[in-house]
Amino acid sequence: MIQKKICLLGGFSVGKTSLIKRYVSSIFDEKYLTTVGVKIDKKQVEIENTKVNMMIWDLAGEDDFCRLQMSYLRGASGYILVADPTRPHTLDKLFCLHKRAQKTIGNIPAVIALNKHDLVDQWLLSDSHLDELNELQQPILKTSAKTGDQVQSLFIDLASQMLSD
Amino acid sequence: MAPAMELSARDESAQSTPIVDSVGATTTELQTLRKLLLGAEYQELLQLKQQLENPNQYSLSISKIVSEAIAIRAQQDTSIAQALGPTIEGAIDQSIKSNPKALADSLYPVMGPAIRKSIFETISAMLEGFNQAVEQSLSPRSLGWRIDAWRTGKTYSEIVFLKTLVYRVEQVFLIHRDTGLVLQHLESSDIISKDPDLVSAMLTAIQDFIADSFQTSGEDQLSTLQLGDLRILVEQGPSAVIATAVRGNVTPDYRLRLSETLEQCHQQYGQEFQNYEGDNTVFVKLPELMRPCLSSLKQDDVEALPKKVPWIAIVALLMITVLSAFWWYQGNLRHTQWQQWIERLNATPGVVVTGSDLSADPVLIRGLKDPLATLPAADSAALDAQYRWSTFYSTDQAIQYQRIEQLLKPSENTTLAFDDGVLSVSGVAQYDWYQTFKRAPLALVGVSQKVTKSLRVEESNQIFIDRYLSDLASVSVDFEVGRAAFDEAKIPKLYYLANRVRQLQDVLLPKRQKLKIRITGSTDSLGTDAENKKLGLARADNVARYLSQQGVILTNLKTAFHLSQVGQSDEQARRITVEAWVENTELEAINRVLSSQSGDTMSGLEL
Repeated sequence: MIQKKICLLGGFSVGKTSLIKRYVSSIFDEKYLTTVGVKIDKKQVEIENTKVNMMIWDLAGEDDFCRLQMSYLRGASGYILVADPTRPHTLDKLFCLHKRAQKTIGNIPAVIALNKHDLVDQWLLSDSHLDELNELQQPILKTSAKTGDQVQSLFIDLASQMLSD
Repeated sequence: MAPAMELSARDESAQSTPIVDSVGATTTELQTLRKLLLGAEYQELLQLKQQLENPNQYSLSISKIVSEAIAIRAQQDTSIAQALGPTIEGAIDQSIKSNPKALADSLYPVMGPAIRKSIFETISAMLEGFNQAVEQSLSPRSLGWRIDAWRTGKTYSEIVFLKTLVYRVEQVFLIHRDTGLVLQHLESSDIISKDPDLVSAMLTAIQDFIADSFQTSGEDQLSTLQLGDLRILVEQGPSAVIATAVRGNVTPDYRLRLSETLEQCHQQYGQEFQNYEGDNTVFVKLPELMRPCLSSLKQDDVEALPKKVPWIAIVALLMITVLSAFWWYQGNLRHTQWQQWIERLNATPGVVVTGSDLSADPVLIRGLKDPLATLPAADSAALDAQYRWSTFYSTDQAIQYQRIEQLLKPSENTTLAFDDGVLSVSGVAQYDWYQTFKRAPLALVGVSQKVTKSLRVEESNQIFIDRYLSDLASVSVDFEVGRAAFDEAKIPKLYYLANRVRQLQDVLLPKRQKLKIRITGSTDSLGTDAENKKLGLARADNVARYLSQQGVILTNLKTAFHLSQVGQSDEQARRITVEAWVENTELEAINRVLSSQSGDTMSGLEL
């Protein structure tokens, strides 16, 4: 069995904790509880006959007032960047966080989650945002913590990347 | 060599350049000439020249010998060390500035134990002293702790804390420092532990959180978390962190064990830790290495620890006991001594102690003292006191007696006894002492009655003789007018006279001394002188005869006549008087001559 540390990064209230909760415990709660500092969860997956113990670090969402401390990223084997397309500025935050993460721990596997896919009709994705996302050359998944859509794949995708890395 | 070559090369170019410029053909000729002169060596020289001029080639050729050259030079002197010193210092400085961690990591295996050892020695020296003090408790627990606290000057709670050094390690984590992933987890058998993966990650996160949230320097690292009696002890290594969950109070050596374990883990798997990819299967030895950290110390263990017999404390306590007992005894003894001394003083005749201050130094004793009283001699020098006496006249019998003795000064044959105002005198006393005794103001010294029944008064011969002689001189016997015979009534007086003379003779005769007696018969002036003379002598003879009848030896006794002068009373005119004196035989003749020269008419009556 292999252990890996992964982190979830993203703007404020984009649904990082909900994604993890859905993935680890298959629960979705409409209530919003902001994360302070960091929350850690664990999920075991098996990829190509390799058991992977994922330590999932749920980092507090970053906003203008609360800057994410990159030290939490130290030692991570991969990270998930989460954005809420219903609030386009969370995408800007995503790009910003990605740059900072790369600066901190270098090029490690990353996956992008465009969350709240259940509210896809409210998404406000501009072309420039899409172009920018594509430029990152990372897998992009449209997830929904509420429905569980693509949540499994999100983590499995990252785990596979980490293993093949 | 190199500068010379350079110089020659420059010379060559300096010479050749103008030649080439002016006459091109001459260059080849010169080369031909050189070839002819130097032959095959010309090519080698050119190669050498090229090597020296080309920096790359020159560096390459020097690099082959540089380490050997340094080694050889280093053997010769210390100039290399001196030359390189500043450079190396600069290099290290630069290295620390650019990445301090690299140097710290490489020094960690060396520095860690050295620092710890030094700290451990300091702490253990401190603890040793302290533990010694703690171990030397003698009494039941809590009382002992109180005493310890009092003795060590520490608070009671500190002592209790130390006395209850009991802990239990519940879990041990070895956590990969960067990822926060658990490398190894051990737990004690009866513990229900939460997911160690999460705990490890969270511990790492907490540390990050603290470091991020509060301004700490980069070197500061989390070492203890505490919630109630649960502590998380964390020891940080370069690549891994060891954390233990402990309940109770750990002993200082447990911390040491943690860091030693962490070092051993690094020694064993340092490389693996650095290249950790989440695979724990390689760390087979970790459980064994970490096992010592999962220990517990029970109260029983603490008590089972070999306890040194606190000899020092026992001896000290014994000494204190003995000393205090001795001190108490001494104090008591001293007090008793003084009390006894004061009692003795009080029992001394003529001394009354009215007060004392035993706490003063020297001890102060106040009282009354008769001038005649003598203080008893102190048994020891310890009884050295300051006395304040007031003088008084004691009525104590012994002092009274002394006073009587002082007044009378009896001879050794005279015994005085004084009891309840009655002075008894016994033994033998001299006559004159007896006279003094009779006159002495004994009432003043408390004598109300004198008893002299058993006292014999003695006189010396001379005094006796003198007294008797004067007694004789005072005797006179009166006669009737015209009569030579004495009255019957005068016999007692004559008897007294006879006795005195006889006694004197008794004393003097054995000494061959003569008692000379002259009895002078006097008459009044009535009648004729012849009749008067006859009458006077008759009167003296009658007395002499009586004396003789009473046993007086009449040798040396003379009778004489004396005619009383007109104007003398009749009584005094008709009497006899007696004179007596003692005469040495040798002086007799002289006396006789002197007597015959006197105006008195002496009768030559020799009886």
